[in-house]
Amino acid sequence: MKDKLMNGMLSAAGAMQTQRHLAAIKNAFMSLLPIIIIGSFCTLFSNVICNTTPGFFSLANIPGLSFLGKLNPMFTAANYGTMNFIAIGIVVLIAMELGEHYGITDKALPIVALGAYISLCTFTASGKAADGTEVVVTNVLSRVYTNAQGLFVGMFASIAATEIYCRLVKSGKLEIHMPDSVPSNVARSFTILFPSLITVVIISAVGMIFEMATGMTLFNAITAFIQKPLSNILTSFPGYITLVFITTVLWTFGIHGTQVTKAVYEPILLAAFAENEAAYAAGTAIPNIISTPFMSCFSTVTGAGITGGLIIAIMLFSKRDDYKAIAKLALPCALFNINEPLTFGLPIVMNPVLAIPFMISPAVSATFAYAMTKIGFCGRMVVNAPWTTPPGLMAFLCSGGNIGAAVTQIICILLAFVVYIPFVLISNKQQVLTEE
Amino acid sequence: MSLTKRGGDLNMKEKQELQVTDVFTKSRIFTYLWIVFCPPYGLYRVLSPSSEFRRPEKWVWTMIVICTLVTFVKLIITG
Repeated sequence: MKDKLMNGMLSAAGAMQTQRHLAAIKNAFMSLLPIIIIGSFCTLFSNVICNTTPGFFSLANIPGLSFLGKLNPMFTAANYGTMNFIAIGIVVLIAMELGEHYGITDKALPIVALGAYISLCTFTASGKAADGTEVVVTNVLSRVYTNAQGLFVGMFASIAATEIYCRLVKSGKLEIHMPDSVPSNVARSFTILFPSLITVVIISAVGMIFEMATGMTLFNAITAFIQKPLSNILTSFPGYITLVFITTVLWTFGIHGTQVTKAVYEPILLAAFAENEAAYAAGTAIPNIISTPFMSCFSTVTGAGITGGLIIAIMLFSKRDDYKAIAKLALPCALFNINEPLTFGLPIVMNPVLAIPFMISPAVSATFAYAMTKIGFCGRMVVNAPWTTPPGLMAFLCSGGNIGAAVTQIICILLAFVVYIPFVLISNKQQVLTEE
Repeated sequence: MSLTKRGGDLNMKEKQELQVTDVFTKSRIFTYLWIVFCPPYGLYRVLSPSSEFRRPEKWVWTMIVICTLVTFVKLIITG
């Protein structure tokens, strides 16, 4: 029975891990991670260091440090250049990652994918003029299509365009053969001419036919019927707890749960974070509690399963020398949210005693942090700090300098410690029984 | 195939994918800082032959730096 369950889990995880589209999405998001972190830190710097708005807490408002305000354009530009072009970045990255999987490394591929995605966008934008009147501007590309709101459609468009393009190029039926006297780079341009043209036209035609049939653009339809419901599920408390639970269950079977589920949750939680970040930059109310940094701060702090709590529990209550030795070794890693020495060293993997608190702790911690955020003690997450940032400091940075968030994160580790205690005591008894 | 071997194979596949440690090497972190404080030199580091950046990343960072520079110039001009 246990083997059957394990086989099923491994097969499902294996299928998810090796699936080419999911692998391309995961690699693309990993490449995008530094861009997002730079963008969010620039928001923090431009608000906390360089903001010269009177009455706003900022270093530039301290007498003698007003020169810091002059650095504001640099951080604002870096923030704008990163956070507002995430969707464009993801289209290009997915196309190239997937293309490499098919052995196609044409420079035209990312441009074709981008063209296909742009063909699904509309070129009018509405907004309010300075006098408050509604204005419609034509022949512009709204940033809705280039920032995190366009991530989901961008992913679909990029995958579809790459699949069509690669199949057409590989079939070789649309090649235009040039005489030998034509230079190879010129000949290559003609070889990929029809596949590129057909790819963009097919995607554009699908968008046009959809709009004619439903009266709604494909972009708006995907956003309304796929992205929004999925976002509502994953950014809701029950949906998030389910996600955290699935991730830790996979870990207890020796599978990197975060990597397996990442392709599903990352676009959604990242979009939620981007909304928070934009609201923080604009000085308006932060809309979402659950976002990418919330996960790093309260579900995977000191490592998946909040194993920092386990280290404290082992150091205080364990009578097993092997556990104590591994806990001592794992402590420096846990300070940077790395827990492989524990998961594979104790091990937690395939260990029914420690697997239970490993699955419970992140859910307990996330529940506590959610409640603290709801009552306003813990600030909402507006900056995406690197996941290796030490506990306490990480929540402080991610919340834009909120002390309550840092305190909440430390309490989360203590809660995990409480959850782990009975199971560490059981493992003591287990050891005694084994010795007898 | 034994369960342990299958689990091990899966983790090997995961290790072959792009990891956080791959995108946050010392050299890359310096490049990210240069991109914020001096985008042209940051871009030079991204595109240089000895760069650790992969082909898709070079494309995206080039786009990002161009957008950043255009926005920076616009902010300087418009105040």
